[in-house]
Amino acid sequence: MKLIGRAATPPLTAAEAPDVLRSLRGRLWPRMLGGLAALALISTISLAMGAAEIPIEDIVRILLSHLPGVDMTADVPAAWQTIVWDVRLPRVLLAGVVGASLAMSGATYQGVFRNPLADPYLIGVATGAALGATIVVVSGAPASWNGVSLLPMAAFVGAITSVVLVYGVARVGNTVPVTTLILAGVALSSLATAITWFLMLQDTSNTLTVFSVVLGGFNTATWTKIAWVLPYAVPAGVIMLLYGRTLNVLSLDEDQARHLGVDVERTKILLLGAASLAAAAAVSAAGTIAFVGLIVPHAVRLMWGPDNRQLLPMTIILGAAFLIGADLIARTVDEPQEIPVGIITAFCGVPFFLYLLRRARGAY
Amino acid sequence: MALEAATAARSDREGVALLLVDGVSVEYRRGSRAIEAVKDVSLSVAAGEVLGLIGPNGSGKTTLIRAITGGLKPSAGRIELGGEEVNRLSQSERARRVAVVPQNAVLPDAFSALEVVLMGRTPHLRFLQDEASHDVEAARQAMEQTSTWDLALRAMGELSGGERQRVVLARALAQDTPLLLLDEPTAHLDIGHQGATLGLVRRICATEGKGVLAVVHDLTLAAQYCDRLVLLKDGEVAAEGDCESTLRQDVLERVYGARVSVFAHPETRRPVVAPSPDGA
Amino acid sequence: MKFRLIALSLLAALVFVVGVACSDDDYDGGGGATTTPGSAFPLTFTDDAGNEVTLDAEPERIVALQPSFVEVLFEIGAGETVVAVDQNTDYPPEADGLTKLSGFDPSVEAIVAEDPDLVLIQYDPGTLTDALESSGIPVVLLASPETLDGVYDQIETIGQISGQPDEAAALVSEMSEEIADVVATIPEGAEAPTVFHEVDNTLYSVGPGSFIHDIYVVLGADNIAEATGEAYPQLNNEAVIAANPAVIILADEEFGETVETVGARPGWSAIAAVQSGRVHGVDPDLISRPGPRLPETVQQIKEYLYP
Repeated sequence: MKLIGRAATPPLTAAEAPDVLRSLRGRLWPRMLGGLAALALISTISLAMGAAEIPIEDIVRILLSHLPGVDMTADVPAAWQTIVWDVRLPRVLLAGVVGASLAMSGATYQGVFRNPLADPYLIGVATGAALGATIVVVSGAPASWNGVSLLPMAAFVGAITSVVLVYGVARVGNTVPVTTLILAGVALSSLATAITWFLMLQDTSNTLTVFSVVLGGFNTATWTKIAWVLPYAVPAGVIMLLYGRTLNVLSLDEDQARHLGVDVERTKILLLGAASLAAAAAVSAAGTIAFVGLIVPHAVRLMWGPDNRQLLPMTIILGAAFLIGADLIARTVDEPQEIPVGIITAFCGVPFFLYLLRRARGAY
Repeated sequence: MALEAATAARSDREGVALLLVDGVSVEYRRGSRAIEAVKDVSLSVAAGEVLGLIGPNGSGKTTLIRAITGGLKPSAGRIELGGEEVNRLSQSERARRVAVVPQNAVLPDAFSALEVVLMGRTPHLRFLQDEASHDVEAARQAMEQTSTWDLALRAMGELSGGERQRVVLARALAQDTPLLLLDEPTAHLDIGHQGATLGLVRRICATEGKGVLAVVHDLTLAAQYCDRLVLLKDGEVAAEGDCESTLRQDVLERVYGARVSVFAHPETRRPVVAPSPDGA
Repeated sequence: MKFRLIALSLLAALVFVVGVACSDDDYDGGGGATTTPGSAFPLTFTDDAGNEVTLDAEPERIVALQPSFVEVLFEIGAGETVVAVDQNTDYPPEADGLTKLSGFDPSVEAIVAEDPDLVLIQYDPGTLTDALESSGIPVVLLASPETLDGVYDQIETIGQISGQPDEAAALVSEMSEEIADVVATIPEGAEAPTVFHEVDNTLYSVGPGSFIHDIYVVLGADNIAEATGEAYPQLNNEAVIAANPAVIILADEEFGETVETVGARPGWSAIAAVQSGRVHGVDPDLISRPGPRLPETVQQIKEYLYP
């Protein structure tokens, strides 16, 4: 399956260039189609399951009836229609968008920092979001979730502010040394966490709400939240996809990349900015869900190689599928109770990841 | 200045110098002090020639290289690549004129050798463009020249230090630039590969008309494969010219502060430098 | 290698199991304190943390780090002995001038500075009890009651250890009578209303193990969170809609949740409670404190359940 690690076979030395290219690329399109099929499957299963037991045919009818000119909902109770369209579907879609955003950001962070342990929360997105949300909660401002909601906005602002501060602290003239960025991120994250805890202790009656933000979940997913995340996640995703080849070159050290013509500083800022934006949007809509941004890119890399032109699209697809699956488990395994999805991602993600590590013992 | 006249003469014959370093000084800041690592150094590289940059540790060789590749700004003088001042060139323009083989290059373990060599084609690819057949051909040719084609699909993490070094050289060759800048290109290589690599570099210079600036640690190797040498001491040019006149015993003893023995290679008659038993 | 993988997985599973187990029952549950029969002071008994505590004499300086403890102490006539209270305490007015300390993260020094001879806590972040006891100060931990009877037991315990057992017993019988009266007014054969009690707008609720849930049980209501078996579960959005509660009680009005905002949530307009307008708020302070004001709230809730 994977070419890396096997000695070149004689045909390669005589192979024509196009064949070499093809064998290097692997089969991206078939893999993407396979990934999309898996994504469609898990989405369908997720749509079909829930506290209200709705038969699949009715679900299909409800979904199709939202196409213009189609109405097959004659026998379907209105309550079910609302549940499928306004409760389950936004939930599945939001989980997918958030999973894709977090995974994609993680892959980009890992590429820019040249560090397999990097995740989207490395330079302060998570702790900044938690602090922003806590400030709103503790200040007593109202925060309803059916429409205009202060909490996600505060989380978003907190996340972005944190990243900007980290960047400002780490900057040396025109450059942002990667190690300094990480250190500044760790330091400011700790500070943000300390302030968050301090604020929480001032008013302990709201700890549950703050924990919801920190642990994350899709229990209150709405179309509005999706509309909120997409304008950040999609452009950021496009940017990251376009820079796939450049990200490959960045895996050399920065001097070498510069010698090969890459504008390293501008590329770093652009990619980190895009990744942080997508991560901040994801966190503000769904809380700080751990492991997705770390494990999914790794798993994809271990299975299909480090070329970011393949890694990024597959990471997006599999990140979405992974989180949709995790959310499905989080909301059905202990009905009617809702388990924080971060626990599920850790539980499912880590053993799978350990298994992959064992298989690829040589690669790392 | 004699150097400028000589350069001008050579340029008249062969076109603009691939690399021109003219009266360059480079400063480091250490706290509040400014340390001049390179003082008023001039050199040039023309097409088809290999210029060796030699000198003791700390003589400013690496600093000079960094100034040439744009990593450091000179505090005085100017540096030109193919007639254009380095600081006026964009990153990609610079990358199309000079390819650098650094010392101790950090290389990703997971990519294959071929993928790393293909990264050398980056300056020739537009932003959204991917590698095409001719890029693979350039890579294959470069890898066959450096005897690394049979490592093409092996992951970099599996290769030995010497193999990795040859892959980096292949990458520089695939970058297809008129000028090559090699920083200790033979550092990890065994004697067989040392000769092969430098021989390859010479051949490419001759056949493809490239110019090479090589920082070489080993004086004998430098003499064997370079057309001319520039010897640095404490940031200044201590001697320059052809190998015989630069690698003279008195000059070397003054610059390196140790006794050496210089004699002629039995076949090529070029200087061979060996350390003498310590008595100085 | 394989062994390491198995070991790691087992360790992860163990951590999870321990975490789940710990999250439920840190303490013995309300009402576990026992006394030596017949005597007043000195008094030895076991508190909810399983510690045997001895009080040599009737306490004269009590630090009470829970609003409900303070309300009970004042109600049973032990108010003058209270020297410091929890920072969330806001009743009775007589407690206003008292020093406010943190109940969530208490400072040992601040407590010792009050020179107490009894400290009542509901939660020990780790070393508080040991630190206070090594300063010679008796600490009694009373956990949040799990049932209504547990509430009564806790009030009686507070009465015993503060030297006001009779007043406490009187308070308990007054409270239980009031609540019994409320229950008596429930119409015969009335259908058990399904109810959703909302603690916050991410759908945390109350369930078995919380005395609030027990109130609903006593009032004959059907709490949709009962199936979770957890005291403070977070409910799945769709599960709430599917359960179709007839009544929704909001304990989070201070967050801006009202009938309108609840009804505007996607899918919630179909819920019976929303359609009939039976979405009501209760004061979260009143409902969450197992103290003398509980019967008022029980009355209020009963009226919401059986209009």
